[in-house]
Amino acid sequence: MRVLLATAVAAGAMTFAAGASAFEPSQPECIAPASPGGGFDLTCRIAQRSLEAVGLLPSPMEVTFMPGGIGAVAYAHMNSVRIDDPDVIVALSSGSALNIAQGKFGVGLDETDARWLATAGADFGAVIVRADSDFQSLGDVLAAVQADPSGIVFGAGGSIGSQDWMKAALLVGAVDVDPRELRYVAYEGGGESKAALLGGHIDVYPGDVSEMVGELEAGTMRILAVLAPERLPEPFAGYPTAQELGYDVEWTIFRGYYMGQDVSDEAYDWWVRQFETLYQDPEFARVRTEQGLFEFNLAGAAFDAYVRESVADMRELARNAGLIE
Amino acid sequence: MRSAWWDRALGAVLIAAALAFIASANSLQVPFQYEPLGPKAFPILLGVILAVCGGVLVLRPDSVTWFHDRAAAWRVLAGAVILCLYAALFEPLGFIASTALMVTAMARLFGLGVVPAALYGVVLGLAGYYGVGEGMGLNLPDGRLFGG
Amino acid sequence: MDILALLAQGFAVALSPLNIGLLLLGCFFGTLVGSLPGIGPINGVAILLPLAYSIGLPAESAIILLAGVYYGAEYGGRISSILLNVPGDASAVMTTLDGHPMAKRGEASRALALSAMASFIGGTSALVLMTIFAPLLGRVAVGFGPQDYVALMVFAFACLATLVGSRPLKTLIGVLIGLMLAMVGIDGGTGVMRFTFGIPNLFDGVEFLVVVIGLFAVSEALLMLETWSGKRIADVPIAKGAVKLGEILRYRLLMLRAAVIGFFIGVLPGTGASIASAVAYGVEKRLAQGEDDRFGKGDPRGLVAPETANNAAAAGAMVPMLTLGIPGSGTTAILLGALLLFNVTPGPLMFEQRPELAWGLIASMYLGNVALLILNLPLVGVFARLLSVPRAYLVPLMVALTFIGVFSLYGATFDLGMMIVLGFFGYLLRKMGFTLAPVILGLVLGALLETNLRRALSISDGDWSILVSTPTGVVFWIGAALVAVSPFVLKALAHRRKIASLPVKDDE
Repeated sequence: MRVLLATAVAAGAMTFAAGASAFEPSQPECIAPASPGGGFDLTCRIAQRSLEAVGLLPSPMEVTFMPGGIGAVAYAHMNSVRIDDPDVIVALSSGSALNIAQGKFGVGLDETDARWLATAGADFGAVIVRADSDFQSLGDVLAAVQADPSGIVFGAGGSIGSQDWMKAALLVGAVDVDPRELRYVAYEGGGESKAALLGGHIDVYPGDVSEMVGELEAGTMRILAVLAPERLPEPFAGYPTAQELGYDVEWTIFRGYYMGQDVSDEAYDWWVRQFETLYQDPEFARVRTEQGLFEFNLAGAAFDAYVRESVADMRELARNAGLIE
Repeated sequence: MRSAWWDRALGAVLIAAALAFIASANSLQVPFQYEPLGPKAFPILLGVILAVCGGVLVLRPDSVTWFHDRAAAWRVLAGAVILCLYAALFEPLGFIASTALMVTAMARLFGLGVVPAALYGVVLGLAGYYGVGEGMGLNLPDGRLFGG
Repeated sequence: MDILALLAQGFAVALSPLNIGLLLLGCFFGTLVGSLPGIGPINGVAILLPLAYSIGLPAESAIILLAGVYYGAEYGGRISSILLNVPGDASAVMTTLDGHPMAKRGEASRALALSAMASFIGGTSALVLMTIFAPLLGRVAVGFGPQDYVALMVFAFACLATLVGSRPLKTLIGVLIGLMLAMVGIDGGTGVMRFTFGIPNLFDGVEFLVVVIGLFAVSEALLMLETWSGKRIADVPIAKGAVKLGEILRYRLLMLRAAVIGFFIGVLPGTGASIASAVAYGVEKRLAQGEDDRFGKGDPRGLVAPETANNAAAAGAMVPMLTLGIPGSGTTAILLGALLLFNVTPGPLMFEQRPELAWGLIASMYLGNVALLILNLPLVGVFARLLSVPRAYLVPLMVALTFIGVFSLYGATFDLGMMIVLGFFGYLLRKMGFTLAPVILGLVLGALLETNLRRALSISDGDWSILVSTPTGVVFWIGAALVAVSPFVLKALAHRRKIASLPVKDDE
């Protein structure tokens, strides 16, 4: 299957090279698999606004909503009703990949059941404490956890097995503490978690970098480390990565798009080309930055490989944590 | 048709539902949890209370009056069928056609003549699609059978 | 403090012709979407957000427009609750309890006018509280921990006990059904799926709106089919009992209480207008000892209290959003998204860095409330006439609107089916003497009670004493106990008073 797909992509690329592609979507659509206003909505808006601004669409793109199970409903939909619809792209995030890895994306569906199209950008994990916290560095936090795993309270916007929990588990795993020994409180989303941190109900919040802009300016919270592979651009350039500090922990929250698994190569390649063109345009960078995302450009076969690899890694993590068999 | 059996039947159904609920909660596979309650305790507690309530309803039912006349019962049944069909046809037929059909049938049930009912149906279908749908930018299905 | 100077500066922004125009547009559109059964503030704001962005409005104008939609929808929500017994969303559920009986009695105009004024008073009092206390309240709101929420939920349940109706057992069963529906979905603590049957549409739980619309709107359509007599309904005198403006003054203390309750519950993230209106209703019913049996049968107090409270709560929910950047409800989450879209980061700094925006918004909310009152009072007659529309036209329209509302939000046939199944169930329950409001309240409260109890126990590592570890929590526990025992105490007191004096007023 994997080999077949790879050949198909290669074949598609050659068609493009020959300039023989006649495909154009008649009614381009982006499905945000959530309620309006959330992260998936923003992901779709990035595609909608930048593709239109750069003039890469024959007609305006419609954004529609299909909430349910962090994208599970839309995934099932794209694997039944619109499995070969060449006009529709669906927003996804690393949270979706994590759920696929844990089998929470519907019965019998996994990472082979979609054509992974392209990214919109990425955000990165961050270790966050309140401004007046005693913890001055990531080392302080992890030393405290090592001394007494249930001594401090971690709180974040997701249940056991969610991205935020994974960040906490990876962090304490770096100093050989079993994540089950922690004290961990699951909130709903970043807003509630930040409120809990400000209210002093939790001590450490393994959140995301981009949601911290307001708090950093106001000086109400501090970032102890970012979980990015390298230093981030301004205004976050002052924060060390966990790896610099000697803990091999990284958490990239990518946002991107996929299509139905039976979409023709012709249509898929057309979309890949649009995104590849888009990545070259400063307008795209502007829109992306405005939405709080960092540069993370991958399209076509490269993104497909990335998603498959991420899901495999996440499956491994979940297995190690005892979440799945 | 005034009878205490409606309450008794409901009580029995509630007991069965409560037991199924408890069984389902009890069979959850929880890898681990950070607090003593976990995902099972609450549902089980609720199930137990509901079962007790159902028991009381069986033992001490009210008398409930159901339909006064047969025509009313048929109207409700017909209305229920129309609603089910509307939901089933909403996406395949699209908003305009399915709404026109639903409205016509529903208005007929309320005694409206065939022509005004059909007319009202078409008007609501179009007004809903173009006024509320397009006008407010809400997603409504175009239908897959025609041109979709 | 020169709050007044800042507010004046805000009015200068809000009173610019463009902003006034947008505010009126937002209020009108909000009332419209709010009054359509099934289409509520979330749809309204979500619809206009991309539009406001794409036409390039300045940030303060866009947020004024969207905020107008937000509280316009809160005003509009009462209309279908009163006239059709169909709440537009969960926060309007309590309004049906006495509002609809009033309309049935021929007092639709009075109910609409009273509730419009109650909404105005609720919204405006909350704004005054917000203007004075906003920065302080943000701190209080985040200090409110899971253990305090647990106590608050128990307090809310104690207030709900006033809803007993004719058969307490059936009310309890209703609440239990709501609580059990709240258990469906991925468990927020452990990520385990509960009662989803592997259906992805259920992973996020049962959608409030689908339950509200199904239970109320669909069952109402079936009831209307059942009770249709074939004849035109004898013309209900819709203008009967038209309000004199002075009448509302009779409820000034009640509205004050309801506004304060609504505002403070609204300020707490995650609770919101439905709980606020339920608590306000419960408190008033408790205080009306001796004549509390009129509640649920069209007592104006049972209409005014929840309407005051839910509008106050809507304003209150803006406080944590504006001062801390933490949304207190689904709709304020979208407003927050809107601010971020315009490169404005809400939080303590917004009041310093973008005072024109922060205070312009607050000023526009004052203006919006006035505009909505002026907009709504003359329309009372028009809306009330809806009741004389023949059912052959009304019911199909109502059904089509509910389908539009649910489909546009969830985009799936599954939710339509779910809505209908719940509607049949609601119809059966109503035939058997159940009231449906407890089901909705159970659904809203249940999720909050369970999650917060478990969060509190996670924080304390399993130590239950955390539940009484804060003064706020203890106050609510005592309050809950008082509400629970008050009927007995008050009855005893009333009994003693009855002996001492002659029976008092009998009519109002």
